[in-house]
Amino acid sequence: MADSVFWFEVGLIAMSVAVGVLGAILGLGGGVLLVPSLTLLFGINIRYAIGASIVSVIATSSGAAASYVKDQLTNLRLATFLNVATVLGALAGALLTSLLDTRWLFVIFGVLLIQSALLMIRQPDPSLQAAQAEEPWTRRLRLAGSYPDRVLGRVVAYAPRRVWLGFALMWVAGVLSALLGIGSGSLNVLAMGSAMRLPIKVSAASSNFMIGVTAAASAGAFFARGDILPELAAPVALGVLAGAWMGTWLMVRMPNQRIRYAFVAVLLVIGVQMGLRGLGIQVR
Amino acid sequence: MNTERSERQSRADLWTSRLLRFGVLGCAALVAVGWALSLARSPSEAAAVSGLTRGGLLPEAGPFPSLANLAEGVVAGRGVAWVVAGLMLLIALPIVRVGLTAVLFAVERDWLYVILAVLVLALLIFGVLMGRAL
Repeated sequence: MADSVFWFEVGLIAMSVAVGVLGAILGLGGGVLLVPSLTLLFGINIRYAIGASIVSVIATSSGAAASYVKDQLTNLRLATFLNVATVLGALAGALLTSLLDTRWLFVIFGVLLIQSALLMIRQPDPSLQAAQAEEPWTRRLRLAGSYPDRVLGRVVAYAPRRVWLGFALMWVAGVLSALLGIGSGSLNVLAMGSAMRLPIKVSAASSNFMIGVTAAASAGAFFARGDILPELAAPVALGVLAGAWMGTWLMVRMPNQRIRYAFVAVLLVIGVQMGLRGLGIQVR
Repeated sequence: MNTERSERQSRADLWTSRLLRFGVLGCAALVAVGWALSLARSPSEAAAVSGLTRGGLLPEAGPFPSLANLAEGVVAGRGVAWVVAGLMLLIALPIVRVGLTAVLFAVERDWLYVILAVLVLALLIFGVLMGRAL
């Protein structure tokens, strides 16, 4: 009996480390990978999976953000501006929790992920495009910036576009974060990359920074409801942290295109999984 | 590019980075030690844990009904208490992070962003308080 519990814990940690690495590289915050893994692979009740997930989302975000800020990939103004949207969304989502049937969320999310994966395939990386004139709101909010790209070997300048569209999308991301206990990193990166035309490394790094803040907004509710189990959240969060640390080291050294391809592949797999789950089909 | 400003920016980035790193490490250490301590489980606790893999729900709401109980548990060296305390601090970390960015913006005299950061902070605190009411 004690044996199986031991292997259970070991398995949890191993899976969490893998999730942490992947999450940090793609700016996903791990929640989107963690909840399916915990429920489908380990058979854990979804309430506890979400609770453990929200904690590790905060852990990943904080751990990875430390490196990104130092490497100058994070745009603090952009993150702060967009966090207003995500936190407002998270609060709305926390209120909505009791009203919506989770199954529909799975389906919607699955569709959304597949849609975003397809969108990402078609677009070239914004960082490789020529610089364009700054939009009025970008200038007013002083959201433009630059970052040293290790792989390209030069400083890349960028200016977000359509900032209010990005704001609206981030509000939705906040709602989803609270409803599913995830970081909504994929929607963050999508909003920043496609709607706001930001380079993917800036999107991923800024997303990581914002995710923890968004998760903290709903974590209070999960904690109060008793959905955060110490015996589950502890090994999961520790594993994800270790993985995230390794992941950030890898991320700044990876070529831009490879990150995009990896992101697309992961989105597709998760999207299909989530959709099937919502439709009541269990993939084992 | 104003070199004095970018130097201040780099220092601000460094301090934010340090806060995050040490905050996370501190919480992780607390959680890790607590978890290790709690691994010496009684047979009934072990049974409850393995019940988790069958999608089960635990009967009680949580091991610590109040903050006073939690503090007692921490002092008594109960592993679970340390884990819970570490998790709570971990959740508080992003809130501190936003507070720090507000301070950094104030140092930069960027009042628009001080207001935005404070707004996020206020919303976060409101969220935590609201959570208890739900």
